[in-house]
Amino acid sequence: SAAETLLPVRSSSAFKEKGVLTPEEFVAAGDFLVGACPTWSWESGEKGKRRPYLPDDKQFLVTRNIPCLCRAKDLLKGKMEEELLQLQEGEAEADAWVATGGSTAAGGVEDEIADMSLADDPAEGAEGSGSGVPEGQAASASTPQADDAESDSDDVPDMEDFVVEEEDDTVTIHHPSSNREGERESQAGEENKILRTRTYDISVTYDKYYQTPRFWLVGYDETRQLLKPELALEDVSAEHAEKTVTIDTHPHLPLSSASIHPCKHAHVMKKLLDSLSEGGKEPSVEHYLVIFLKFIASIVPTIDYDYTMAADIGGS
Amino acid sequence: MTEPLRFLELPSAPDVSFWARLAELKLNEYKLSEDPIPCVGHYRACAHEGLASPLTLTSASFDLDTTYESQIRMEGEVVLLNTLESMKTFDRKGAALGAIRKVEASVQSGTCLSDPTALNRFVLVCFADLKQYTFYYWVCVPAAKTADPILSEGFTQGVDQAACEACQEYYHSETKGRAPFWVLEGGEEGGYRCRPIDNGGEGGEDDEIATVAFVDPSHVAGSPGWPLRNFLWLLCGGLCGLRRVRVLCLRHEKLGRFSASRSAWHEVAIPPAGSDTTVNAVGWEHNSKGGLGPRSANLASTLDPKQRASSAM
Repeated sequence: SAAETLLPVRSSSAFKEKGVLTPEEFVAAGDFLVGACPTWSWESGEKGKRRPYLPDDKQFLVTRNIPCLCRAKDLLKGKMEEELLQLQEGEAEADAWVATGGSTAAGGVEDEIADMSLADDPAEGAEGSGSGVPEGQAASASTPQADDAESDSDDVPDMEDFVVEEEDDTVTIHHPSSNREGERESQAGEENKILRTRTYDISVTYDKYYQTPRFWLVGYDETRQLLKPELALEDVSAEHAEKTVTIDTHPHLPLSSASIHPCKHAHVMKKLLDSLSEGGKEPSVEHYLVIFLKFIASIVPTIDYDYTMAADIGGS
Repeated sequence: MTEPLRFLELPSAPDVSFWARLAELKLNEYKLSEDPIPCVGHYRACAHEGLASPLTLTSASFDLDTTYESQIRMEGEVVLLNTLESMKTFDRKGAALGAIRKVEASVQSGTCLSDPTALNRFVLVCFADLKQYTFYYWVCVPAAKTADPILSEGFTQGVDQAACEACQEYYHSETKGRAPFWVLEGGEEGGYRCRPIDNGGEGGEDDEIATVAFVDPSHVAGSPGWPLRNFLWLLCGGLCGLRRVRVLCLRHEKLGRFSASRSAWHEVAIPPAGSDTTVNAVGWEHNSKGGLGPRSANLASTLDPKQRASSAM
C-alpha cells in the first residue's frame, strides 16, 4: 500500500513493550522457528516483490501441504471446547481474541457430512453455521466455484485420446476416492472425511505497516486444484471469518489469498508475552513466532499445523 | 510372504508461483521453443497421517541452485509444448527413458555416490493455455523397471529409537537434511552409525544384507515412496550387486523429526538382472481420477487481471 511504502521501517526493538517486531527480529524469530520446526522454511518469493529490509533468501516463511480434514464449522462442539480448554490451560490466560468458536453451531453437521461434493455449497454452509461468509460474498463466491467444479476438474479436452500405457503393478496410487492401500475401512463416514481433505500452504510474512507477522492461507482441494480464497474462510472459526480475515494480494506470491488481518496482532502478542512474563518465563524475541503461531492456531482450528507446542517457549 | 513390493507414487505439487513463473518464461524467454527448461523440485519425509509428501515445484524451482534444509532436491526439466495436440503425441516413453539414461550415466560415472539425489529426476510436460490461464500438465518421475519385480520379504512397522536418533543426528548435522538415503551400520548393543553411501562403496561384500536408511515421502504402511525404486536399482543393479537389502524407511512426526513409530523396516529382495539388459521406465503420474492422464490447473481466478479486478470489489 501507499502508506507502507512511505513509512520508515521500524528500527528499535519494542517487542515487549508493544508486541511488535523489527525486520531483523522477524528474521531472528523465523530462524528459531525453522530450527525448532524443520517443516517451516524460508522462501524468497517473486523477485519483483522482494522487500529491501529483509534478506533476499529470507523474505517469508512457508510450511506446505498441511492437511485440513474437515471444515471449521464441522468441528463438533465438544471437541472444540476440549481443544479450547487445553489451549487455555497451556496459555495461562486466553485473550478474548483467542477464545472463540465454542459457540459454533453443531447443527446440520450430519447433513454436511452426507454431502459428498467437494465444492461445498456455501449457501448451505451459511445456514449451518451462522456463516463465516457475508451473504453477498458467499453468493458471488459460489457461482464461479460451481462452474469451476465442472470445467476445472481434470477434464482435459479429449482426454480419451491420450493413450493409456500398461499399468505398472508395483505402483500404489494415492487417489482420494479409490481404495487406499492398508486402509481399507470404507465406511461411508471415512470416505467422506477423505473426500473433504484439503491441504494448505501456510505462509507468514512481515507486515511493515503493523510491524508484526502476517498469516496467509493458500488452499487446495482434494484434487490439488487451487481453492478460491473465499473458500478458505470455511476453515476459519466462524467469528474470525467475519471479522478478522480478509482477502488480499499476497506480498510475495502472484495470487490473492485469505489472510488474518494484523491490526490486532501486536496487541494480542503483547498480552501473551506479558502473561508469560508473569508466569515467571522470560520469552525472548526468538520465541515470538512460535507464540504467534500458537495463537493463530485457535483461529484456524482444523488446519493441523500447530506442532510448535513441543518447542521450548520462554524456557530461558 | 514374499510378494512384489509396491511403491507409492510421488505426487506432484506445482504451486501458483510455479505456473506464473512458467507463463512468464514462455512469454518472454522461451516463446515458441520447445526445448526442455531445467528445473529443480523438492520433497521431504512424510509428516502427516494420510497424506504423502509431494514433489513441490515453486517459482524458485527455476533457480537451479535453490536448496532448503530438510528438503530433498530432485532435478528435472519442464517440456513446454505449443499445442494440446502435441501433448497427445508427445513421446512420453522416450522422455522417461531419456531421464533414466541420465540417471544411469550418473550411476556409471559414480557421481550418484557423492550426490545420491542424482538417482531421481522428473519430467514435466505441459501445455500452457495462456488465454484461459489453464495449464495442462503431466509429471513423470521415472523409475527403472526390472524384468522381475522387487520383492518384499518382510515389513515391520515401528523401529527402535536408537536407530531413529542416529539417523536424525546424521541427517541434520551432516547433510542439513538433504540426503535422500545413506548407509546404516551397527545396531543392537553397539549403537548405530550412519555414513554416506560413497565411502567404502563396495559395501556389504561379506554381509549378505546391507542396511540403508531412506527418507520416505510415502504415508502408506507397507509401501515406501517412489524414489526408493532407483536407490534399490543402484544398490542391487550394476554398482553394488547386492541381492537383499534392509531398508529403514524414515518418516517424520509433525514437528519434523524422525518418528520411531511411524518409520518402518523393509526387507527387500531384488531378482538378478538376467541377460535382458533393456531398461524400461515407469512413473507417469496418475491424475485425480486415478487414470493415467494429464492434470490441469486453472488459475484464471488468480492470474487473470480481469477476474482479479472483479473479485477485488
